[in-house]
Amino acid sequence: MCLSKTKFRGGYAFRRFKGNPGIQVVQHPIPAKGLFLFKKKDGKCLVKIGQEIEMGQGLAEGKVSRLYSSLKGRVSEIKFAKINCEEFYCFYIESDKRGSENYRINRAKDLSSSAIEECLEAAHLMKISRMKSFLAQADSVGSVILHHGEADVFCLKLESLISHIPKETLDRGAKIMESLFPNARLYLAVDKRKIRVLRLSGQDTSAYILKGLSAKYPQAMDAPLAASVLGVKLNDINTALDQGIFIITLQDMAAMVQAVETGQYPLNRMIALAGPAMDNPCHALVRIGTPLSDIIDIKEGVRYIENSLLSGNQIDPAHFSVSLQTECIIAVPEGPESEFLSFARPGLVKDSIVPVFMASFLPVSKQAETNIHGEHRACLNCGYCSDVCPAGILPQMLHRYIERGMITENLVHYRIYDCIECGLCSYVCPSKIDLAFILSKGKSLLKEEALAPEKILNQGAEKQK
Amino acid sequence: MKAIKNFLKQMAHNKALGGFGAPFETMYGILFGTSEVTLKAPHIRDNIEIKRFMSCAIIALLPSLAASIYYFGWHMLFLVAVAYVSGGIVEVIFAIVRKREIEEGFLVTGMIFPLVLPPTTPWWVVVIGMVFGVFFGKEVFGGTGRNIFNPALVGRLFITIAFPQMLSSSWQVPLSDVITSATPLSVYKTQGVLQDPLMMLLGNSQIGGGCMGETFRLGIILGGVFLMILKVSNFRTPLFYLGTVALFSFTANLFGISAIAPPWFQLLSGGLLFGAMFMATDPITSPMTNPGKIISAVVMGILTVLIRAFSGYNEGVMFSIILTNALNPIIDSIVLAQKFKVRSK
Ligand code: SF4
Ligand code: SF4
Repeated sequence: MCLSKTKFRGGYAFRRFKGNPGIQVVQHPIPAKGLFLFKKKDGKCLVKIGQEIEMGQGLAEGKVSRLYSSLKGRVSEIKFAKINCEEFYCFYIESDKRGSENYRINRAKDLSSSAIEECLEAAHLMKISRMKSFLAQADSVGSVILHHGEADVFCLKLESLISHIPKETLDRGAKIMESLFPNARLYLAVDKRKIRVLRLSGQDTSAYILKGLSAKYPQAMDAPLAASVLGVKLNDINTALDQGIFIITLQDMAAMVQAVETGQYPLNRMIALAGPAMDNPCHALVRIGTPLSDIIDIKEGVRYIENSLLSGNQIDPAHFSVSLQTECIIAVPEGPESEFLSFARPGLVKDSIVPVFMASFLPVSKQAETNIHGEHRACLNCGYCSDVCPAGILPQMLHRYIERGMITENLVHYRIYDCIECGLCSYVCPSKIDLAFILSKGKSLLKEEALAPEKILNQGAEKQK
Repeated sequence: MKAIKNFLKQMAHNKALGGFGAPFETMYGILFGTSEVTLKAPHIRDNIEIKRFMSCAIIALLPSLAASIYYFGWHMLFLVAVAYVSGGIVEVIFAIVRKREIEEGFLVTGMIFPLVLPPTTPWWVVVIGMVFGVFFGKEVFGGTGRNIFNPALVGRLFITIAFPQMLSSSWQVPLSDVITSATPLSVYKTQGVLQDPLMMLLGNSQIGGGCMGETFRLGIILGGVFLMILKVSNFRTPLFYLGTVALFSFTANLFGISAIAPPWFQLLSGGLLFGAMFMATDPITSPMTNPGKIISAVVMGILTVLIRAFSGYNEGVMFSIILTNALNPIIDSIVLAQKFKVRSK
């Protein structure tokens, strides 16, 4: 396995935050009552209340994806819930608390691509990383990037994950990928600090070209990944699919290998339980469909967030269960209420992009909380936002255009569509301007005005002629 | 404590007061910070804020302030207070009229402004300059963040033109009451005599010391480096500004142009260090991009040397910073055109 370290521009290294999970893994029991969520919009319910269901049976179906149960038992309730402004079906399944002995086995016959496809389809894994769209143009996929990013404030640790992945999974995953995407080169990208962990785990294999990602958030988002691993630029117009780059996480790959080789659905998922308001930060192996209240004690005055503090969504604790997308559950205290003379304090636990607090010079753990730590002010043109922006654009300038209502081609010219909504610019702004939100608002306004990227690019090309 | 907090909170959100709530809101912010929380991703925010940012700038100015008090007396502190009050009043009036928050920026402006004046400046000139600077340098452009020129420099330029005698020929000798028209720069210009570098670094000169904050150059360097390390000021601006001055004067000396003083003298005389460390670095009036900052610093450096050597003025820092401020939008647009070139596929 040859190694090369990579770089992408911008980014921010979140170091030493309170509440980072240890590497021990706790196994959670199968829940007595599981919860499964599915978007109501163009979704169709496949079961009735009171119906007995098998493990792996479909619960609801949409145009592109399907929801399956990872529990065996009885449908006890079907409700609707509104989460983040979208309506969802909620299926409550009373499980028989039995283990995994009665799976339907439907392993792939051989490693031909049609057999694998069939198996993944049956295991409802086609939605992972938009597999279906990639398979539709399998020959033009030139690279596969298998990755595990670890630069978010809190995230799943490679040590824990890899200790629960069966031996040679990566090797076998490579064979599957080679069969599905015959023209692709395979890359394995992990945080450069974790290369050693990978080597010690005995999972490393020469099937991949190994890349060490520079230790900054957002190393694991598509665009920085493609930029640092392949030197290819991605944005809203030129997506990973257009460029034939298939990007998949380690855990998803493991699920895929499991399905192909044994025919087992991915039933369990490793998640990290993290954050300063988490009682016992650790890693947990939980059954998909386990409701949040079964995993942790839900407390008042705490905000729960899925996957990322910078770009993840807030969790509605009443309607949340572990799904195929969950990697991390983060608990941060709401607030705190204002502090006396907060701006003049030494700041022993305060993180900042600039070393103006003591915490930058001391080996202490820093505190994450939802207070915005300052008043809204006019933009100072300090340039912190453009310094951290991984897309290399100027958020402060775009924000100025959008706030003044100048939704014109200029925004496209200044590459607003390169923004990957990582949220770093909002994080660092001393004037507390929510740049990431304003930029995404600008993008949707642009689209409304039919200044969609393709159109403008075409116009530009015509003008140049 | 709680009572004060509640009182301020109520006043700040009292609709009946209209814009007059702004000062209370500011007081509340200074004393108690904010209790606002994020509503969506990103769920956490950096702890840096404008008050902390400005406090760092003020701390960096303290050595200069202390030295000016030491050399020219307590009078100096009085002038800073006058600048704060007059600048503050303009700021508050505009905050009330515009129904906006009071921006902390004037705290830095009010500190810098007296420091770039001669020690003999009467207090009413400080008031005029400060009010003019904040008004025409900042508020007419629409307030903090939209101004093209550094308000302290606008004020300074105005009183230089309005009271030329007072501001260009009566310099107080540090630690004495003697007033002279001689400063190291003017002495060089008229007689070609260089001063002792150590004296210039510490500011205890036998001739006129220049503006109040300029004299103790060791302190300026300390303060400037402090800001650069904290990344409150962008290191590119002072580095390239001073570098250009040194390189340009060095080259000119090689060609035997004697009107241009040698590099070390250029760096240690007049307001160059103070201007490069504290005024050219003002983020609002600097170009947006890093290459733009470098270009503008180089332009400032060249202008400074040229004005010092070939114009009627002995000092060129103020003019070159203001001139470059005006050029910055152009510099920015050139850099942006390069950066966002439409690449042919
Ligand atoms: S970080 Fe905030 S204040 Fe600084 S340039 Fe960007 S938008 Fe302006
Ligand atoms: S949210 Fe967009 S503009 Fe802001 S730092 Fe991330 S990529 Fe850049």
